[in-house]
Amino acid sequence: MSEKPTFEEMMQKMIQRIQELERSEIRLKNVEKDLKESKNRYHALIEDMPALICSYLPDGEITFVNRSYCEYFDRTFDDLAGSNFLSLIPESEQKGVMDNILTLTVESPTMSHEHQVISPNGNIRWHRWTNRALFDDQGKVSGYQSVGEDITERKQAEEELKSLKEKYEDLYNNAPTMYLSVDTRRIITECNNTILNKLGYARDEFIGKSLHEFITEESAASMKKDFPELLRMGKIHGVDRQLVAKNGTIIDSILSVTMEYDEHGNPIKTRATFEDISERKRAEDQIHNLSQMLMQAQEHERKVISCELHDCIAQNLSSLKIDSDTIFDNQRGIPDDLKGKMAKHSKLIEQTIQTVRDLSYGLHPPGLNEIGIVQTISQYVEDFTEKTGVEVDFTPAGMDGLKPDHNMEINLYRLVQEGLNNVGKHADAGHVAVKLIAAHPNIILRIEDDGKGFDIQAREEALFSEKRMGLRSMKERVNLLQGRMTIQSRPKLGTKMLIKFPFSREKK
Amino acid sequence: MNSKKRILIVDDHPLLREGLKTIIKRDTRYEVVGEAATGHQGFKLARKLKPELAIVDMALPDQTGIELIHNILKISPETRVLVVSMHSKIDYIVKAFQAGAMGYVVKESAADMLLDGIDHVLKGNYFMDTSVSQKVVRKLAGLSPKKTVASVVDYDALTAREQEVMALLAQGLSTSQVAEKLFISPKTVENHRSNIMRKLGLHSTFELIRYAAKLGLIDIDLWKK
Repeated sequence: MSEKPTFEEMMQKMIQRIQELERSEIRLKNVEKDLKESKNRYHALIEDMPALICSYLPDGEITFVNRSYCEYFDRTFDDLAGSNFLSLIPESEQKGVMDNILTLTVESPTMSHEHQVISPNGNIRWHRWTNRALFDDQGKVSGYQSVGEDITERKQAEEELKSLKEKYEDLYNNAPTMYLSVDTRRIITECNNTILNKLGYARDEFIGKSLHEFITEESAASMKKDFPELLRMGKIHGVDRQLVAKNGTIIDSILSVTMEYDEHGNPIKTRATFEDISERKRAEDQIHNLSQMLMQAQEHERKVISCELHDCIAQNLSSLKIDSDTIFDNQRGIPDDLKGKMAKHSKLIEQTIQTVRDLSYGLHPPGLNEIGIVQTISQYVEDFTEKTGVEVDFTPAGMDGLKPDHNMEINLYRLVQEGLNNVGKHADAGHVAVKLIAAHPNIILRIEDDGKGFDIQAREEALFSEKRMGLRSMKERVNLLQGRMTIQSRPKLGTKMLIKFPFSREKK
Repeated sequence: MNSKKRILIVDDHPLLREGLKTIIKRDTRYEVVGEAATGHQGFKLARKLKPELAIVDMALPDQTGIELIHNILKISPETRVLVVSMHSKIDYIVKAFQAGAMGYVVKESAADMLLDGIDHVLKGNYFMDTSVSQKVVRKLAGLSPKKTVASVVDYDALTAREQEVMALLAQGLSTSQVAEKLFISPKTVENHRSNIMRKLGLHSTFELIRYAAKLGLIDIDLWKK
């Protein structure tokens, strides 16, 4: 059944419709309001952001910049809007920047890059910008939005770090010192070029190997002994060790080691430095050889001069004296004054002979060959007592029948002489004991005084700086004999000198 | 008979030999029958001439005077030897007398002393130049107590091996340690040890160590507490 709607009904519907319309208008108004609020919030956010924000058209004309941007470049919005952002970039960078931006597509609409900009005071700064391309309905670029920040400080820090790293690597690799690190099993984990060059290994022949493959057995044994101290102290400083090069050459080095620990205090690795001292050792050896040669040459010269004085000059003088004494034999009528004059000559010659003889004996002990070392020392000791008043007990033991070669004898004699001279000069001693003991396969010489003693180290250092020989030449002589010298001295308790050197001839 | 005493001079200085001859000529009882400049020549002449007296220099170009004295006395025991030397050190003089010389004259006093010396020596007496005899006496007087330190003389009797063993024992090594060190058997070490003890008149290890310390063989650090 179809009935026409009544008026009331129509009115009702109309009212309903009007109400619906009113409601949707209110909704629309609300949406508009929300939209406006949202825009304001968004705008405030953009404005307040510390980052630099900028929008520009495809040709680079700026359409929007935020407050940070204005402040950064010290320009107003109006000033910047309409200008080209490229004008803020150094010319040399502009093309690169544009090229980067032009790579953006619908599929890949964003990219970041770093480039230079010109700050308001004309300085060059580094920026990092993230660019987004905006597209219209046809997919054509309608503009760009970019967010940027000043990264100059970071960039500088990076550069500095890089240059520091380069410097460090240069230093590490090319320092004259050899560096390496080993783990707790003494496997080499790291090393510099210097050690590779010195030893003649390639890096892959060296890294990953045990350190013990590259040092002498003796050094390896010492290192094992060092280990507890390393654990206790965390480092070892300046010990003598020997590296072995690929070609077998032994390199005398000074080793220092530092331990590295993890956060729990457990050792994880050790850093080692080896300083090549083979050159120094060679130089020392050379000095040593030279000083020994010098001593031998000096000894030789002394001997030659002494013999010349004694065997030639003194002999000739003796002949002269005999001639003077016998010149008037079998002659009559010689005036007394002439005889007297000749007697004076003879006396003078005699005195000269004595002088020459003393000189000769002083230069070289008389007759080492004829009377042997023990008698020669005994003689010297007596002369020493006579001259200085210092009582000396000389006790040779087991030396009978031993005949050291001349070099050994003369060095032994000089050791006694220099030892006693030191006592005479410095010790203020009343009594000295000199003991010479054959203790196969060695000979032992002891010189012990009851004098005032001295500080050995200070004395040695003083002697080193002075030009005087003393202890130093004694040391050289002991080296010459391939022996060892030890000195003990205590203030007021005297000095004990012990010299021990090998003497291999069997006693008969 | 009035036969002259025959004298041989061995000295490498011709001038000096001349001088000595001049002095000897002063006394008609003597006659120089031979001169030699080396030990070798001197020895040959002594063997040939068997002189009553040989005047010998201590320093000869080819051997020491000591050696020559020994050699001459070996082939001609009747020959008396008088040393005329440049050396005035007492040990030379002692060595010369030990070798068998009967007299010693220092060259520069030859003019005054030589004839005296020859005279004494030929009579069978010892003769010493007065310019050195004082020193010798002083030395003999001063030295006698020191030289006869018993311990040292005893030690001189040890063989090289015994010295070695003693040094090790004195350092505190045991018999087996010494044996190991010297590559000999412990029994051999024991033998050496008992020889050492006997020669040195020692009875215990303690005495041995004390002896070694006194001798200077080992260190006993008196300064240590």
